[in-house]
Amino acid sequence: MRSIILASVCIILQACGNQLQIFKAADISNVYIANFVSDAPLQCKPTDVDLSNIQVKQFFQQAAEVEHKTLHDHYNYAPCAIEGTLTYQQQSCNWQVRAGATGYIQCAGEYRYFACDNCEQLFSPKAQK
Amino acid sequence: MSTVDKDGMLIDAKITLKRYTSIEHGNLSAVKAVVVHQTDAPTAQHTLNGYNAGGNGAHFLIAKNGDIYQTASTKKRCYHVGRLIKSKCLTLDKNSCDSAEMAVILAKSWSNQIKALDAHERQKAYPDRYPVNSDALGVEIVGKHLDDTQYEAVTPAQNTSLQWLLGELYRHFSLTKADIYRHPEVSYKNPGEAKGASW
Repeated sequence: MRSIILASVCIILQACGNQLQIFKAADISNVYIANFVSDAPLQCKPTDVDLSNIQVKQFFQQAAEVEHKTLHDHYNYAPCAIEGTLTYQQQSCNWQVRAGATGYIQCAGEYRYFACDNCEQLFSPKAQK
Repeated sequence: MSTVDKDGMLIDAKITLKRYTSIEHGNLSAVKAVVVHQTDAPTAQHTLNGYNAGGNGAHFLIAKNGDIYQTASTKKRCYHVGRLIKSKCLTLDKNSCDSAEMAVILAKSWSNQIKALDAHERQKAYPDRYPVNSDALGVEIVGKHLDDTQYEAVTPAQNTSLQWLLGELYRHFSLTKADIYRHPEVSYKNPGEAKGASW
């Protein structure tokens, strides 16, 4: 009986260990923008996602982590984005923020997806309203 | 050859009927197009489990092994296209767009532009615009996303089933190949979705 309980606890702990831990935006540092990409340069321009390094950090602090399916079902995939690198919990990671206020952080091949419902001020250049 | 019963379900040995009224949202008065999707789930059962909770879904589901399920009536509307549609004229033939109005729209920021394009397009009738939830059926192909731009490959069995199913839908609803769209063509979605689907 004791061995069954012990085995069950081990399985549960292993399952928990395999899941992504809760994202802690405070653990983000060294955010740097490295590139702008657009699949539709006439429609989706650098001014549509003109964030500073600090604003990118703000984006990930204000955004909610979501499953990719939620991103797909309920948010718009913008054809342009800024991307770069950051440090998350001592790991070097890649990130991307799209003009539709969605993004991801990729650390060691693992993607975490984000969407922000209250980030309009980060994506609305005054001159373009 | 399949038949369509009074409830809008396709009757054929190749189709398993698993209707989820939870993903039906009002009546679909006419079927003018079909939008092909990928589920972002690893198995058909994952998607069927999700349909119990309601919300988004499509009329048909094709499993990895090619099994076809009908999950909603062809007489009912499902939420599968998305809130905002793209501009068909802008994508296919810029010269056919209303150039003055389009110039004003394209000068806006991207987030305002896509709302303005949607409003502009919805004044048109299909096929001058892309299909919307209220005139299109949805076919989901089981497959997970791989990253921000790619999905799993569509299996040969899935493509064979998709081609057979679309053949039946052409016949029942007087559609042609021109009425079939991949999801990212129509609305703002991961560009890899349904990329490997062929018909």
